[in-house]
Amino acid sequence: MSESKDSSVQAQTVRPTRWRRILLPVCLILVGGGVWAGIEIWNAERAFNRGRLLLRQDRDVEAERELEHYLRWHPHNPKAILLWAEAVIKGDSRTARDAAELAISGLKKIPDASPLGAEARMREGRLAFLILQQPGRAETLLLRSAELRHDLPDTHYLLWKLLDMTERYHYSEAHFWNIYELTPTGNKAERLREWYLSQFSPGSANADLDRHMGFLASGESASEATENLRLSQFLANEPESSMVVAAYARWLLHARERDQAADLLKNFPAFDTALGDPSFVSVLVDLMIDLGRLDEARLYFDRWPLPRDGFLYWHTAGRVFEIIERDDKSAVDAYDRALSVWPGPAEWSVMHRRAQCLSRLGDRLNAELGRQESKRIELLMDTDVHKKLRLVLVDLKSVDTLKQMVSFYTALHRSREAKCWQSELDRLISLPARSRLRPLAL
Amino acid sequence: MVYKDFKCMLMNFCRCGPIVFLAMFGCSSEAPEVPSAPVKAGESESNSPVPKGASTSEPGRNSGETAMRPNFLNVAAASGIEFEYFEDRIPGRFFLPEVMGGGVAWCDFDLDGWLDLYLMNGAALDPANKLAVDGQPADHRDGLFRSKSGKQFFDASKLSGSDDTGYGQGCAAGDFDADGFEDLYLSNFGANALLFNNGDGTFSDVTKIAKVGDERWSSSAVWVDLNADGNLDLYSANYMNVTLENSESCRYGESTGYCGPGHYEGVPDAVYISAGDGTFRDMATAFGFNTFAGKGLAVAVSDFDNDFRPDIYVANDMEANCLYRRVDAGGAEHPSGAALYEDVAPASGCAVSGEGMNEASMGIACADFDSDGLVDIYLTHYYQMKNTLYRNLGGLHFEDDSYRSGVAATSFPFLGFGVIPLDFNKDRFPDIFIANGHVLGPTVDPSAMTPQLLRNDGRGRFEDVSRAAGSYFEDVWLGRGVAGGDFDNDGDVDVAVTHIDRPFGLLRNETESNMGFVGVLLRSAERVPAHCARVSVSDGRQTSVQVLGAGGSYLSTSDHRLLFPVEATTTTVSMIVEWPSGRSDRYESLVSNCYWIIIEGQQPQVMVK
Repeated sequence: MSESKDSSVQAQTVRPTRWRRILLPVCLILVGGGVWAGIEIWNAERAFNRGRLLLRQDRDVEAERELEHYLRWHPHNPKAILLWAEAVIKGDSRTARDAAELAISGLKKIPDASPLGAEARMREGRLAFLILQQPGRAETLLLRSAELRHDLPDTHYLLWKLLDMTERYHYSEAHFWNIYELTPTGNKAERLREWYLSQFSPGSANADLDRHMGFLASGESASEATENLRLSQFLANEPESSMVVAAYARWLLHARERDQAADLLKNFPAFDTALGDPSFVSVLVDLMIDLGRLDEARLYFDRWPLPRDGFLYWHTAGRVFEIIERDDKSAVDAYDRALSVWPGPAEWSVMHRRAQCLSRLGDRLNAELGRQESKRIELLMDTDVHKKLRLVLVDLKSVDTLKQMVSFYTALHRSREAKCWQSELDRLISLPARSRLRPLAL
Repeated sequence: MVYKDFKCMLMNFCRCGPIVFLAMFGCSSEAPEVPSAPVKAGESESNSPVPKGASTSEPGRNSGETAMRPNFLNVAAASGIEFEYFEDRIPGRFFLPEVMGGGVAWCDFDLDGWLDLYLMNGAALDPANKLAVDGQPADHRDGLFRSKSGKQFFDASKLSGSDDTGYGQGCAAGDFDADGFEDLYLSNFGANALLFNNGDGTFSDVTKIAKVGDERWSSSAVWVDLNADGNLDLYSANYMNVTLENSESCRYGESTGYCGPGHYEGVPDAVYISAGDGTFRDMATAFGFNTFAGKGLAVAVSDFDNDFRPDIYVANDMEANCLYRRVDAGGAEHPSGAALYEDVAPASGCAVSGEGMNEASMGIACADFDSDGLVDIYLTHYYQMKNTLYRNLGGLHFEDDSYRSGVAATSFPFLGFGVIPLDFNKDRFPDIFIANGHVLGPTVDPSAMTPQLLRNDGRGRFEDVSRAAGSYFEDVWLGRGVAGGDFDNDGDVDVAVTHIDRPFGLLRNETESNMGFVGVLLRSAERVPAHCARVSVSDGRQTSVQVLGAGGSYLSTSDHRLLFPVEATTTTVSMIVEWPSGRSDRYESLVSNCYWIIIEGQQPQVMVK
């Protein structure tokens, strides 16, 4: 009995000990874990700030580590992803391409619906364009960004440059004005200068980007070879992009390498799909006209995707009506529409074509007026005119520079630009003389 | 012998016209055929089977003929012509005249009925460097090759005294004193020269007397009666102000080459108006020419508006081209004092390309390419740029039809110079021969190029048939001057081509054809070429219409005779000549397969049979 009592007492004393043996470590683990987690969370929270600080201090690898730390606990925090992506790109532990791909894979995690979705798409687009040199991929991302948020200057700026660098400068006007409106007053003159260069001297306008992207050695001036290198590299990176193929073919057409352009377009694997891309159709139609294959040109023109509008469409339509259809009346209508949108007002060649059509229609008076206007604009587009303008544009604090720009755009009937330059002129004149002294470098 | 003596002798002896000389030289062994009497203007117009300016040739017909394989054989050496243009190229100097080449002129200088050849030659460009490499004085002279029955040519340069030593560019043959013998105007880099044909196989330099020794850089020239006074005047196109002192070289990618026209100032053309006594006066500005100092390389005369008055088309290098038409109320005698000519090219649509671009404009070929009764204009241009076909729409309206016509597509890989219209296959539609070759020098690729033969389908659409045209077309050349002429009088057009770096080429047209021909040389009542006369030839099946023009190509003069293909089965044809004077003559029963000479108001005479 006492033995059994003893054993029961013993059992009673043993059970808690066993439990204690089990519970204690669990508790310890839990407490430890909790503490660790607490510390970790606390650390992670601090890591975000540390990462941001380190990034500011250009200690990018450490910043990336800290931000990764943070993202373990907050994997969907868009701000952290943006900072992490920045750290990845700025860091030197990977090649630029690997870093870009990695950063893009992170940025993808920020959904469109996020308040930073537009920013994320813009950054993805920037990396795809500037580092991966895939303008087709970049354009899609940038357009999405612009769709999500219209007031991101970088998005419009990148789209502007991307269009410039893929032989589609005529599409860039809207992006320019978006940026211009978002540009602080003090920098508007520089922006206007950049717009001028983009449209009338794209070589110099894009030289910095070309250097940055490795298409132009430092100290060298941009040339046709630069464009060739850039576009062929784009093509190598995105052989499946109809836009890139069209851009290179357009350049080849400008360089009068028609056979190469024809090979490129005709051998494009997704040819039928590409006919949904206006830039592809446009260059194809132009090429077919050049080669005298007018039936084909007409066929491709009929495949022009919707919306059928804009300078490129109406210019192409005018040529099709004039050269293929011999329908001067429709050609005049099309040319009128082309001339009404940028870069129409600078396209003296279109004006000349229009005048020829009018002449054939028997409207000699307007034909002559058209020819005179075409000649006037042609003279305004003379290399010497723009050489001089480029020279004076070095100094944006010169009244004379601003006056010349006002009169140039006035002569071109571009009242919006003329007005903007006039505002700069008025602002400059209103400034005290001392603040006008320092010329800005291009 | 001074010019005056010649003139006196010629006035007494030669004014009787070329017929006497034909007889003297015995060019035709047979008695001249005498056709039916000419019909007066009124009658002929009412009876004319062809409306003014229209052709009844049906485009696309004669498919058998059009399908014929072109065949040209270079017979220069075999015919005794061994001539190579001396361009005096010095490696590294890049002096532009070195690459412009020289011209060639077809002309029957001795009136024996067979076309002779005059070939321009270069010379030492640097006066301080007149010695050749071997230390001997450089002796590079123009060449006159006289034809012996169209089979062989012999060098008559020295014997004739026509061997000018200037740095030769263009050559214009024309009988400025209307003595029947063609004289020569030589455009040089340096002073030009006028060689008077003495009629005895020799020439005299009458440049000073005639006052036509322009010292600027001249290119092409053409003889034409600009003011309708019965005397031939001279339009001499000038190029640029390039000297050894202001000459520059330019970079083309990795290579250095010759600078283009953008680097130099243009020079106004000279328009020498004949006083009728063997002297001339440059009245370019007074006559309304030289609206600007263009960079003229070629000049052609034709009647683009069917008014029977000469229109002058000037091709300017990378400048707007000019089309001068004679105005109704103008001229020195007119009370208004207005100029006689005005440049209507911009309004006419043939000054610049359809896109409004200035083009290189090296050579001109004028013909009715689309069979609509209006003379069209074909221009050769720079490498990778299209050549241009200005289709004449009537009323002095032209459209750049280069794309529709296939002209653009056939021209991009080439840099064209001399160009002539020629109906090589006798299908009644003017085809085109083009001499190609680059100008940047041997270090820039491509340099030499294949020439081209473009076949016209009758609607003004062209197809390049060069590959089938013979071995000459398979080789690459630096082609420059081109002149067309039927040197063997077999009724088809043969081609003379000058080259740089390689000998002159004489391409005998050996294209098989089942067609016959009728050729005609037209002279006005004043014995000058009846430029702008309109000739219709009907063989019973079809009627072909041609307008007598002059000049064109590049630096060269083609055969002055008009050549009409006719059905081989036809033994006689009828011909209507509408003269610039307003007279219209109809000639019936002209024997085919021979050349006729028709002087306004006189009976046609057989020239060569």
